[in-house]
Amino acid sequence: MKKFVLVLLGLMTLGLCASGSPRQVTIIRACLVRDAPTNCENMWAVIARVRLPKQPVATFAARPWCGSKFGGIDWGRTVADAILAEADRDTLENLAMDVSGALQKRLVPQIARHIRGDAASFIENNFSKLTPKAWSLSSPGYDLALCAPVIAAVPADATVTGYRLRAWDENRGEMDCTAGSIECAPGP
Amino acid sequence: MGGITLYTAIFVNWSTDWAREGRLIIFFEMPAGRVPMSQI
Repeated sequence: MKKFVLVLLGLMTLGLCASGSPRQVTIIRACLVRDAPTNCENMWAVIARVRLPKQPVATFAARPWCGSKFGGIDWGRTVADAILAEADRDTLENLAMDVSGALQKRLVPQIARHIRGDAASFIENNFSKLTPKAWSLSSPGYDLALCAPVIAAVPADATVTGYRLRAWDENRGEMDCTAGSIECAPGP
Repeated sequence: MGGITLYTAIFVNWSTDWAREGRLIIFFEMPAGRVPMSQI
């Protein structure tokens, strides 16, 4: 019995540790970024993320596009309006955050509730709204699963010194994104 | 815009065989004496 209790306590501790693990870091000192920029000592880096989930059917699009519904959304304006509807100037003064990651992980419902229409649908459906049966390259709307906005916020009076685009693949890990390019090649 | 600047990029995937994540890293300097906060 004693052994059973110890095992149970151990499992509970593991569970607590797992649930209490820190969230993915979104703001770090710039010098901690791989291949940090020169003179990074006084810089910060905000890392915004957005994830497109694996779909039930694998499809490859040589020339992917985002579809008219997605393309019609001004994500910057839509999200900015939602943030401004919720937060006052004092709150925003030092705010630097991974907005897309927070929206996708449902961490900021107070902001998300101000986003309506197609943008709200895309977020709600995790940028993936087709059923396996409907999923095919010829299906209208297949492209809905290929695009997502990645959005970072920094204080208006901060001095932005640069940016980087990165892509990560569940199977291959970090992908090779050439500096200055907007395309990231499949990894090794 | 109202005390905050948003930077947006559209992450476009070419395949749906695996989950993929787009990342946008913005480097910035805060005004003297201030530290960025990530909670709203």
